[in-house]
Order: sequence, then structure tokens, then C-alpha cells
Amino acid sequence: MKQWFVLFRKELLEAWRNYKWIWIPLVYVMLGIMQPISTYFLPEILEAAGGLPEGAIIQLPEPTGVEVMVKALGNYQTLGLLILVLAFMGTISAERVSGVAGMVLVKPVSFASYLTAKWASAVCLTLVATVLGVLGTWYYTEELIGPVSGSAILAGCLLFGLWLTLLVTLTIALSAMMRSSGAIAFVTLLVAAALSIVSSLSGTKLSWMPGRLTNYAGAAIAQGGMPDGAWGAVISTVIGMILLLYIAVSVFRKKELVA
Amino acid sequence: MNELQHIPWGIVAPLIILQLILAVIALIDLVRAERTNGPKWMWVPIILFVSMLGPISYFVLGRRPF
Amino acid sequence: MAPLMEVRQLVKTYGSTRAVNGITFTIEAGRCTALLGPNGAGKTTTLNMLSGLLKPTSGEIRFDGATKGEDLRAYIGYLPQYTAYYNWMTGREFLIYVGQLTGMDKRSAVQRAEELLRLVGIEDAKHRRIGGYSGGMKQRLGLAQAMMHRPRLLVLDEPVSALDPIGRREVLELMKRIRQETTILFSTHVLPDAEEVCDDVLIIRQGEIVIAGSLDEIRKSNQRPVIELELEDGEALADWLPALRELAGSAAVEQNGPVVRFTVEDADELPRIRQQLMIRLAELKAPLSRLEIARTSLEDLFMEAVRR
Ligand SMILES: Nc1ncnc2c1ncn2[C@@H]1O[C@H](COP(=O)(O)OP(=O)(O)OP(=O)(O)O)[C@@H](O)[C@H]1O
Ligand SMILES: [Mg+2]
Repeated sequence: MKQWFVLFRKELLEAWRNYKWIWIPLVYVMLGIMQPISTYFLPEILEAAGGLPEGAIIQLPEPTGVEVMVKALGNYQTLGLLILVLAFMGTISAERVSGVAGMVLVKPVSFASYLTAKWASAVCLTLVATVLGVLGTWYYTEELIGPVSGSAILAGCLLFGLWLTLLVTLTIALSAMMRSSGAIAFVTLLVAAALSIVSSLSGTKLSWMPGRLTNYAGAAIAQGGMPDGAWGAVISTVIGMILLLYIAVSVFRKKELVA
Repeated sequence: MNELQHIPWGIVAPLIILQLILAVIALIDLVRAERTNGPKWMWVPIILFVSMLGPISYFVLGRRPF
Repeated sequence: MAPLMEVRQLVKTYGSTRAVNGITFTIEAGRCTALLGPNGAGKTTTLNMLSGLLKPTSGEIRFDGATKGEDLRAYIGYLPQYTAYYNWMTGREFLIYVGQLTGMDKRSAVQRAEELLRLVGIEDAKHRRIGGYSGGMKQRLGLAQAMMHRPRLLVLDEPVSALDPIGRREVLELMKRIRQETTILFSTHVLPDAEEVCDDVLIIRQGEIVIAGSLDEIRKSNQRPVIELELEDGEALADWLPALRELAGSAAVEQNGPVVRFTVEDADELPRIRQQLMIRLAELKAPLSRLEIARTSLEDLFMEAVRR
């Protein structure tokens, strides 16, 4: 356990020194608050773009706070996810390619600790970025658009954070098993897309699928609390993550550490 | 100039400040890096002029992991 | 006393190539052993297996005091042939990190790190990022990180090959000092390094050990007399060579310009060959410029073992 904390602390320090702790939360805040701000300014933007005939009055539907918050989560689902995957794809594979993984693992270091310490650090960063981003977005939404309840934000944030955590777990698990960063990112994004598509095609069935988490997060914000069936998806996601970590450690342990 | 007064700075300023911080950090990292993917000078305009995506693409594509 | 490490029939295959082909040897505690061999002989592959970085295809590695199947990494300190670091760390931070990973508490890790930084001579650079270190400094840091947890066996893969003559000199001196306290196994492809710091050698070629033992013994048991003679006129030598070959008996004859070399396999034959040679040279009135009786050096033996 002591060794695990040494590894974990090094990961936090590394993410701090290469500015991940600054730029990833920063980008999440910006991605989030851009949504209420651009919604607020939409009429002016349209006007400035010209194109409207003299005297025409366009009737934009008045957006609600909930709609804006859900759209902001949509930004995290696309660009936000891409950033996380690109930021973490080399977590283990790059250390193996450079040889530094070998330098560390000739010491009596447990493979499971080595891997889970990196995972824990990446998950911390992901969750902090998500929470800060959602809080910033919430503040702006209440100021500019309309109210959203705190419990809605909490539930939505948890569910969405869990979805991102699952994909970060997948990125790191693949990083332990594959060498090419490009392939790691590609497979992760492919799996994310597949999970979303399957859950949207399956209608009311398969309500426990991890891919449902994003829908549940939206629903949680709309209804102000955990939606029905969300717990099933939470449990299947947690089991999925444990399984991924277990497989990654077993495969990693059998890998040769030098080319 | 009249237009500037209509912009609600209270709302927009934080976004601009965050963007500035992001660009400055990317530049600091760029200056301190020994090597980058692609020529170093190329990243300067990307970081400065390509909105939020410039610094992001420097961090995920330009910097070397070790 | 039981040997510190015992290696039996160690094999590593890559597809159809046998990088290490069933080697067996022992390492005695307190001694320094050189694993000597040309490029591609299988030195790195062997050392990687000993340190746990590669899994042997078959064979057995036993360590004194370790139970069968136990993780040997705690006992061994390893310097790989090509070092790699977290370039964002300082040298001092890296050593402390390594120390803590091997179970030291922060205070003793700091103390040990400072001690080793001084020993390997990179104290001035300890607060600089490793990314800015020169190759020689990285090599020294590598030596220090291998010794951090006071391993019982220090395994060094070509510790001096990448260094300039001065760095090489310094690291060899350093190794002489370290060997007072720790058992060392190190690989090299040049004999003088081995002769300078080591007691024992294992000469390896194409994945197999061809000569093993203490340097002194090998020197003694493999020394053969050599008669070298040089003529003033190399041209004329060709005429006399057949006559000289005749009386050489079992000795191997080599000609190199004006020099002829007789390597006498059976030392008892030396007096006879020498006498006959002198008589013959006198008869031929050969314009002799030099006649010398020497002994084969370890270098000859090494070259021969490796070339075959
Ligand atoms: N990953 C690998 N895949 C295939 N063959 C390999 C691999 N690693 C080593 N070999 C082969 O095994 C043999 C021994 O290589 P090794 O690196 O152990 O030699 P070495 O004695 O350390 O040489 P050098 O002095 O160049 O470092 C070589 O013929 C090499 O081609
Ligand atoms: Mg080698």
C-alpha cells in the first residue's frame, strides 16, 4: 500500500509538471460555459451575421436552463472525451516504448500497483475536470438563462463523470496491452461510439447498458434526481471497469518489458 | 468604439481570461520543452491564433511524453 | 559456501533464433564476474532474464536465500544497456523515487540518494532535470539507481561502452570501489575492461558459454608458448617457410609480413622446436632481426574463442 501511494504521488506530480492538472480542467470549464454564453448571445449573433430582412422578427424558442446544461454535457461527450482519450492514451504504452517502464519494473514493484496508480491519477483528473466544468456551466446558466436545481446537477454530474471514467479506464487498459497510441485512441473512441449506438438503438431494452449513462445524465438534470433504471447502468459500469482493470493487469504481467 | 460598450464584459471576460491562461501555459511548456513533435516555431502561431483548439492540440499532439 | 546465483540451462528463443542457447553458470558472492562477448552474443538477453525483464523460454535461475519462484527483483540492482528516465524529474528526485519504490522510507531514501550522487559524481547536477543530462551523466545516474536499495547482486549491462575514454576510466574506477561491497556481474565486449575489474569471466558466443572460470586460472591453463621470429627481408621468407613448417611439428605456423609465429600447443615441445629452429636458421643464414619466446595472452584466447 505504501508503494502504491509512492506510485500514485509520482503520477499526480507528473500530471502537475506537464500541466495536465491545469489545462484539462481549464478546457472543461471553457467547453461548458461556452454553451450558456453562446445561447445567451444567439439573437445578437444572428443579427450581426446579417441575412435577416429588414423588419423581420424571428421567434427563437426561449431555451431553458435544463436544455443548456444538457447541451453542455453534449460538448463533453464529443470534444471533451476526445481530449481525455488523447491525453491518456500513452499513459503506459509510451513508458514501455521509451524503456522507462522497464527501469521502474526491474525494481520490486507490483504490476497491479503500477497500473492502478496510473489509473487512479487519471480518474482523479477526469472527475475534477468534469466537476469544475459542470459547476462553472451551472453558474453561468443560472446567471444568464434560468434556474437548474442543485440535486439535478449533482446526479447528472455523477452519471456523466462515471461514463467518462469508464472510457478513461478503457484507454488505460488498452495502453497496458497495446503499443501504438493511435490504435489505443481509435479503439477507445470506437467502443464509445458503439456503446452509445447500441444503447440508442435498443429502445427501452438493455436499460442497464453503460452506454445509457449519458442519456441518464441528461434525464437526471431534467427531472432533478436519479432517473429510473440508472442504478443498473451504474452497477454494470463499475463491474465493467473492474473487469477491464483485471484483464489489463493480467495481460500486462505476461508482456515482456523490453522490445 | 460605441459597440465595445455594449459588450457585457462581466460575462465575456472570464472566458477570455481562461483562454489567455491556456495559451500562456502552452507557451511556457513549449519554451521549456527540449523537443516537440513538429518544429517548435510552428506551434507558436497555432497556440496563439487557433482559439482554444490551438493550445489543446499542442498539449496532446505537440509535446513529447518524456 | 553456496553460490550467490546459480543459472542452469537458460534458454531464450525468438522464433527460430536461439538468442541464448542453454547457458549454465554460477556467481560467487563477493566476486566480480564479466560476461564477455561480441555484438549479438546474447549478453543483454541473458542479463534481462536474470533481472526479470524477460521471461526465459526454459531454464532455471536460483538465488541464495530465495525460495523457488520468488520475485528476485528485490535482490538485484540492474543497469540496462540503454537507460531511460522520466525526463521531467531531477536526478535526486528519481533516486528518491526508486528508493521509496523499493520500500525505503523517505528519510533513508534521501540519505542514500545523496550518498550515491556523491559516489557517482553527479552531485552538482542533482537538482537539474534528467532531460538535460549528458549520456555519461545518465549512465552514472543509472549506476546509482541500480545501487539504491543495496542489492546483493549488481547487474550492469555494458556500463562503459557508451562513455568517452575519461568517463570510461572513471566508471571503471568506480566499479572497482563498488566491488569491495557488492557482487557484480557486468557485460562488456572488450577484454581489458574485464581484466581490469574482474575476478571471473564468462565468455559467450552465439548464445553459448565457450570459456568460464577465474581469470587467473584461464590465463594459466590456456597459456601456450609462442615463438616469434622476424626477418630483415620479408620477401625471402617465402622461400624458407616450407622448411620452417617441417620442423614445427604440432605447432601452428602463421606468417604476417616479415614475422613468423609458431604457437606451440604442447609446452613440452618448446625446447625441441626452439633448438631445431635455431639450427635451421643458422644453416639457412637467415637475416634474422628478432627471435622471441612469448606466451599467448588472454586477448589471443578471447579472439580465438569468439572468432571460431
Ligand atoms: N526481441 C528480439 N527479437 C528477435 N531477436 C532478438 C531480440 N532480441 C535479441 N535478439 C537476437 O538475439 C541475439 C542476442 O542479442 P543480445 O541483444 O542479447 O546481444 P548482445 O550480446 O547484448 O549484443 P550487443 O553487444 O550488441 O549489445 C541477437 O542475435 C539478436 O538479434
Ligand atoms: Mg547488449
